[in-house]
Amino acid sequence: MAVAAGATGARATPASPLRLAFLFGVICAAALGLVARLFYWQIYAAAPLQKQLNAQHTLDEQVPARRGSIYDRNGDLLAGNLSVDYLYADLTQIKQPEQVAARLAPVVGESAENLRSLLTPSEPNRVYVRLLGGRKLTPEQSEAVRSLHIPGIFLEPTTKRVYPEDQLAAHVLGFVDGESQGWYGVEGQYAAEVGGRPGHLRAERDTAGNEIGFGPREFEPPVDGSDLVLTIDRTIQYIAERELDRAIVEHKAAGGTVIVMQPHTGALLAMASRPAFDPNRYEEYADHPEVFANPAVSLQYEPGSTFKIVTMAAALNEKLVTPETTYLDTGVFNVGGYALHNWDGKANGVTTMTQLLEKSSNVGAATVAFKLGRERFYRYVSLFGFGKPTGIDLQGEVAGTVKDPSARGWGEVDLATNAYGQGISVTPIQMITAAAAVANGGILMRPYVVDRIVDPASGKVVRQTQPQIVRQVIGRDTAATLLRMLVSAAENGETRGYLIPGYHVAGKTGTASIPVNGAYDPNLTIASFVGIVPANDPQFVVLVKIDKPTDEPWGSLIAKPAFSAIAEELTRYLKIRPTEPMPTARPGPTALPTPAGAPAAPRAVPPAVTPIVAPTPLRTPPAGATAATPRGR
Amino acid sequence: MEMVKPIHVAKLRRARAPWVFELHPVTLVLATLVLVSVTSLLYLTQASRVAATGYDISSAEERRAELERQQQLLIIQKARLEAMSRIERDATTRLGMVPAPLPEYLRTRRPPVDVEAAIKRAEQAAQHAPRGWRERLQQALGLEAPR
Repeated sequence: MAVAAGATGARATPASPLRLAFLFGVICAAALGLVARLFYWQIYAAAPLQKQLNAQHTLDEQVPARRGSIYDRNGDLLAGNLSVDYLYADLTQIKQPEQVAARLAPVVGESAENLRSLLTPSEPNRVYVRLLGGRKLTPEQSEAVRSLHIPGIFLEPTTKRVYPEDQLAAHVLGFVDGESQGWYGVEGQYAAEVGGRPGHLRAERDTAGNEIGFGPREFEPPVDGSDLVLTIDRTIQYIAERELDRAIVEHKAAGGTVIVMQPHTGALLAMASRPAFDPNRYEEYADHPEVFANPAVSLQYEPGSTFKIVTMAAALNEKLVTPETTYLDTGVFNVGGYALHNWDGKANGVTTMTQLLEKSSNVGAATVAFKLGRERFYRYVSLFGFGKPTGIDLQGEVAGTVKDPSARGWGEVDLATNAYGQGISVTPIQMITAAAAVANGGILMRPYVVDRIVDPASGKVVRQTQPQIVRQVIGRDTAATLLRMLVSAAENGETRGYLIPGYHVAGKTGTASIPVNGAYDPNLTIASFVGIVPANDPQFVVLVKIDKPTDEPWGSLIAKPAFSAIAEELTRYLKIRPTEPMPTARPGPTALPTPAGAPAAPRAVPPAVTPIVAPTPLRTPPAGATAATPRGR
Repeated sequence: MEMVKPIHVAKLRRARAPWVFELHPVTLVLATLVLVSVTSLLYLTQASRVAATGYDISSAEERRAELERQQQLLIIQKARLEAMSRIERDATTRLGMVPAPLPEYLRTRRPPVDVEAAIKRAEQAAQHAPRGWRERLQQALGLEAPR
């Protein structure tokens, strides 16, 4: 009974207010804790959590645009794209780094030790590691890696720019770096057109990383890059590079440039320079980045006697001289306290203008320049495009340096030396463009290398480059007269005879001294030749420039044979009909009299002639604009 | 004229089809359940079909990407095989070819026959063949009418 009473009494006992308050407090504290926790996760830590969630469930990536290809004028591929892969590792899935490294090493061409160190987690939060640095796998290596089926090893696809002709036309093309950014050449100049615009994809994905078909999706498609069709002909480019290499090796030269241009349009058929680089392996030239710049447009040089073309054109156009006009060549031209000499130190006596070009007389060129006067001479220099960029569609073109009478420090000796191409700096593209104007009836054209831009999807031409006339520099009759004189200069100059059997060639040699630290280098020269083929109906102009040949200094012995070899092959390739009787035996140019018993000269290479170096001027002026030089042939 | 009120219309409709409006609650619940089930099933079917199609599309896109990759590879391989340096190297070393000699050109007194131009001339002549006695007479007399 007592128990029952007790039990009944316990049920009847009202709850203690203290206990209730305690219980209420506990519940309130728990609720507050929950609220605080909720606040933490939902408000305070929401952003990073949302980010993690999005990363897991949302596909948010840039869709790369396809880079346009580059073709030569005949549709042969010069630059294309290849799908390649980066090699990645998910360290959370790599349980035995040593074994994985040992299996991967022979396949990817990397040491097992290096791979093992990369596959061993060094930081606790590091999950993904790109192996092999920034190197991309070749398609064959990718296939081999796939066949290994190693958990945690995966491939990240990307594209690589490929230049199938390797070094061919490297300066014209430029290169593309690992971030798909174009540099130099047309890759740099037309980066926006070739590169396209990347797109963007935002969608939900499943656990395997695949896009969920019915999830929300935002897609901005990429705009693929356009294809470029160049004016360059890869066969002509190859011939130019081969002969340039041959001349450099044969004459132990430091480098050189060859440009082939169509005079009527300004389109370039070839543009080659040495030293060059392989755009497929641009990263190997990190220590010599200067090799990327195109010397044909970025490097200025003193042209030497090829510049006499400009001097003579001006005088003929001003009707101050005719081809038969004579002057007395005493072998020395005194001006401003300097005595300027002919390249061979000889006095040529009474000389016609045509003979001036044949003998490449410095005294004659200076005489003509003074007959013209400073104003007219520099006006023609400017009209021919010197002292300002030609506007060619290549990156990095420089203007050259023309010191005209308005410049500080200009003296009359500059007028004399400029007349034969010393003390004035031009780029090879300026020189050939000026020569091409003579071949084009006196009309200066803007040089260009991109013929058209094509939409790869539709094949439609987006932009067609039209030949662009810059100006009429000299009259048509003047140009024709000068061409005849240049034929005589090329064929009756220091080396005589046809430069190309069956064709008349108009041209001019040049041998220029090189300014070094305020004086001219006594040993080194730049040997050049600019020629127009065929002279009666010019189809192409070739400039050959060889830097610092060490066996002979002269343009006639160094650059002219290289020109002949290139031009002869081009006449065949371009199917240009001969204009003159073809000799039955293959001749070389008939050289000046050789010593008795001397061995016959090989084809297109004149016999070694030791030119007489002119005596030192009375006072050696500083290099640059006020320079008188012993050379200039 | 007395206006027909909507409530009258509703009452009339209810009187005509009482079985529609006087369902037993259980029947109504069951019908609702069936309706919801069918709708859900339809939705799920469509959703899974869309998902499957999505995966098919992804798979097809991957396949296309792979084919494009192979095409790119083949284009590059072809270009490498056609590279000028390789052609010259193979021609001179493997095939034993030599540079072509200077071509010999023959001068002829008359220019070579241009076949296409000759055909064109013949066609033009055929088009202007004499018609009627007057043109024939003119042709016979050498007095061709101006064309």
